Amino acid sequence: MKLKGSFWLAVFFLALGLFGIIQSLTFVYWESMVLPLAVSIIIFVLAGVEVVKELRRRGDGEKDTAKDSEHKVENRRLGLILGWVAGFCLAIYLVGFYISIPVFTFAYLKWRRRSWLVAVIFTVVLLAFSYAVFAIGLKVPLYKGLIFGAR
Amino acid sequence: MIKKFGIAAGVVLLAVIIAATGCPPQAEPAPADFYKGKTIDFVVAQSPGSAIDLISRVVASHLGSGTGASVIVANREGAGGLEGMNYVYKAGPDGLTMGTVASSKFVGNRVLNDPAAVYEIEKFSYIISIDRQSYYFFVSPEGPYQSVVDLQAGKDLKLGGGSPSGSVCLGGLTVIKLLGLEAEVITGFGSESDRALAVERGEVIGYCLNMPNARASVEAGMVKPMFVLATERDPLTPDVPAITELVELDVEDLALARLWETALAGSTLCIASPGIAEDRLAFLRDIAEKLTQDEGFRAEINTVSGYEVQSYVTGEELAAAMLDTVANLDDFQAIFIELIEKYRA
Amino acid sequence: MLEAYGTAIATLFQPINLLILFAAVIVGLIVGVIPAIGGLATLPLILPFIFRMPAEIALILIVGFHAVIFTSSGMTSILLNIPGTAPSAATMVDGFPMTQRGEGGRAIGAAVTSSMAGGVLPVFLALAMVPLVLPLIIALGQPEMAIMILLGISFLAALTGGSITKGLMAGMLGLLLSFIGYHAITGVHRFDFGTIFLYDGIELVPLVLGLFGLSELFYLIMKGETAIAQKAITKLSGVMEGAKDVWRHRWLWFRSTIIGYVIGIIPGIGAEVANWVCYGQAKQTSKHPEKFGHGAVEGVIAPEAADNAKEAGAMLTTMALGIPGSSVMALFLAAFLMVGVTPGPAMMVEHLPLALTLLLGIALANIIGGVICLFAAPQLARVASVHFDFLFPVILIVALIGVYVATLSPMNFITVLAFGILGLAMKVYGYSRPALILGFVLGGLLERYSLLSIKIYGPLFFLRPIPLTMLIVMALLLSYPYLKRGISNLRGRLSGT
Repeated sequence: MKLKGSFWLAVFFLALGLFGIIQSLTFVYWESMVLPLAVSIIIFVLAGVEVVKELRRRGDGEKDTAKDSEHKVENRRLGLILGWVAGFCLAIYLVGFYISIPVFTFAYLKWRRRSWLVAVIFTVVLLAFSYAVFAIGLKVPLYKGLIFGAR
Repeated sequence: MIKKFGIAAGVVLLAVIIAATGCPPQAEPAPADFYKGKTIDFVVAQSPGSAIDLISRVVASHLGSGTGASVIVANREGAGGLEGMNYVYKAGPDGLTMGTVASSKFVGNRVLNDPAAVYEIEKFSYIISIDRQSYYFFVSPEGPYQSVVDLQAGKDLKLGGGSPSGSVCLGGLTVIKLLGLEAEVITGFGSESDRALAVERGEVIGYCLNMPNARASVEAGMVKPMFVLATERDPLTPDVPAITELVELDVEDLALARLWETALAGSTLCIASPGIAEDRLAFLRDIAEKLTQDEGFRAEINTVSGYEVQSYVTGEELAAAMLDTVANLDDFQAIFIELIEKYRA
Repeated sequence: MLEAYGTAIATLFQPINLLILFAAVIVGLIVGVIPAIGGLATLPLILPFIFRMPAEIALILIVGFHAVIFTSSGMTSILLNIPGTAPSAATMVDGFPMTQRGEGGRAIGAAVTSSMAGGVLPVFLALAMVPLVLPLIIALGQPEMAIMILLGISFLAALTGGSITKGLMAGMLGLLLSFIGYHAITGVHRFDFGTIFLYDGIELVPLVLGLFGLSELFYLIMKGETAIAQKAITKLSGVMEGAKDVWRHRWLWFRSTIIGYVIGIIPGIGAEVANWVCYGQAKQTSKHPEKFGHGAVEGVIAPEAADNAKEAGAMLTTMALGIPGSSVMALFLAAFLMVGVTPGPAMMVEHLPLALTLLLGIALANIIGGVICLFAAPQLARVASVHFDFLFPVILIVALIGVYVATLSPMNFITVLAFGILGLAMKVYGYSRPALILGFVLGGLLERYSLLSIKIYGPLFFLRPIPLTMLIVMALLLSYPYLKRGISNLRGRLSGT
């Protein structure tokens, strides 16, 4: 049977614990080493227990095709939404908030098949709200983006 | 239809690019005209509400009036202020990024060669320095250590410190060396109130700090200054002796004490990014010079500081002073590294 | 004393002062609602104006503004699963599931009432507490603080959820994450790969936004949900039901208020600690701990009571002793000094009427703010039924702006995204996110106080009288449920049933 996500998450914790142990041993003073080392060892041991549990569980249970196809749909939705979020973050990093906000909002609403009018109005309102609250109201400088000279 | 639209858009874009590159270069406007309507990014490399933050906001508002620019203040106190210092250092030379730093931390990073500090002190553009704060050694008003003799007679003394590379720790190490104490500095106290409370409880016997940051604890009666870490008394506290009045120092120790009234003395430095055009820098320095003579400005600085600030250094004089500071720092690096290894708990 | 009270009330109820207070409350409520932005980001903006104002007006403005931030911040946590301020993240754990059930109005009613009352009661305790505050703070040295933090960490056991192994792993991960960055005691850089981005460790705001806010959003969209709640209760009566819940759980509310207040009084413990510790103790003492995390109203009442009470405690320490316990209180201290009032023991003697005016101002601000929130709640609760097509961009934009404003670093978008993915995985596979947060907020403190205690008192610091007593009390408290069960079983056996 395929290894489930819960197994891989346990492996992630195991790797993290091992990383913590190795790194902690490089810290020069005992004061900086003791607690990170202790905590990393605990994570490593507990994660080891979880990994073993998951491997034992792997053999149990029958293949559930209905659940599998439901998971595929969920994973697709998740992949898409993560893509949108990552793309938005990258856009902000490159061109700043005031360009990314309207581009992202409009593109997302159009992708979700909302009408042009609704998409434009909502985008304008959201941009105006962000500007009014943060630039005018709170006078906080929003990130301008790498391309426009921000550091 | 879409293809034609695309071709038309491409032609327009190409035309714009050719026009932009073909245009003759614009002459640089005069500084006064340059700053009008612009936005100055003003970085405070200290946390909000700190003594330097309050001074910085006064400076920023007057700078805005003087330049005609809109000044946006942002605190970048991460990594002990390093984040702000690096930020200003890496900004472009357009003169639109400035900031304030605590001079002791600014110089201290260089003394200890903090790997996270990407800046070089001598390359910044210096505008004004406000105040010159001596470091004092604070003790409990009612504790068993009321004089240098008491300290020198003590065993296993514990002094409070912040981070190992911070001025509080370095000050404590200096006091231990200069007085020949049987002591160590316990680092890790998060804030001034933590240290003052630790003194109140008797967990530590004292610590080094500048007066503005210790003011609240002094007024609350938790600590009092025993001496000033300098070769002369500070006019702010004429009754508090200098360390050199209380103990004989050899040449090396005297140089170390002097460091605390020059390079490591606390002041608020207003700096701008390296490489600014000479005329813009001169313009900013001129505004700063005028501020030092402005009664309103001085009154506001005094209000936020809680006392009458005497020391203002502007322009080339400040830049020369910083270069002079940098020239001698390497000598002290070895001393401080040795002191940290020997006396840090 | 009575005369001082009379003067204080007369001062506070002067029309100009009331107007200033009301305006400050409105602005404070708005700031509280905007995610991730709190007093620390906005108070510095007010400071330059206040030193041109008379002391009374300036200080009423500031306390009125700050007093209600934590009243309204719970609303964003409940409705959108995004914390209005970092400490109010604890409210999300049960507040948001209530919204998903269509009970967002009720959750807000409970949160606002609990927060409002939690901000008012301590004001009346304040005067009684003044002579006790300094002795209490002096008595709690490094060893005592270390044991107190350990007690806080013991609540991890209550937050582990279904699987103790997974819960402990999450808590330990939180602890490990808290060790990232420059170690203030030794100067060693730990787990930061030499970057300035991680020099000060992971920031709480992006961590919480990702771990809870984004991950819940991902989960709902992944499951094909079209809105947070299909049907939201938008009547005032629903909101008032939440207010009644606070009365039903009044002892929990009272206990959380006192714990939050005491934690606020003690300098050096972060603001977030009170909320999470109170959440932990609420679950531990509940008759239905299994409901926590799934929309238990007690999980809203406890942290919200602590949220406001801790600020009242911190304000007392700042005013009465001149000791700021947090960055926000340092700003307050600066504000006091700027208008020529020196906080400290002298203030409570020389400026007693002013001190009373401010304390009463905090109480009045909380009442005004609470009432406004309660009436606004039914309309605000509608946001839960807005389609994700519109809500998703709003939540994401506001969250990322909040992250940037709080940290001034776009690199924290990576933090938010990474913890969003981790938070989703933890939710799906049954790892306790509250346990991670508790470990994170307490880990650094535990290390600092333990190491300082060892350096000052030696490794056997915990054998000192007060720490030892605290350890024994802690052991008794933690074993109480098991002891109670054991005694009950024994009784059953002895009586032959």
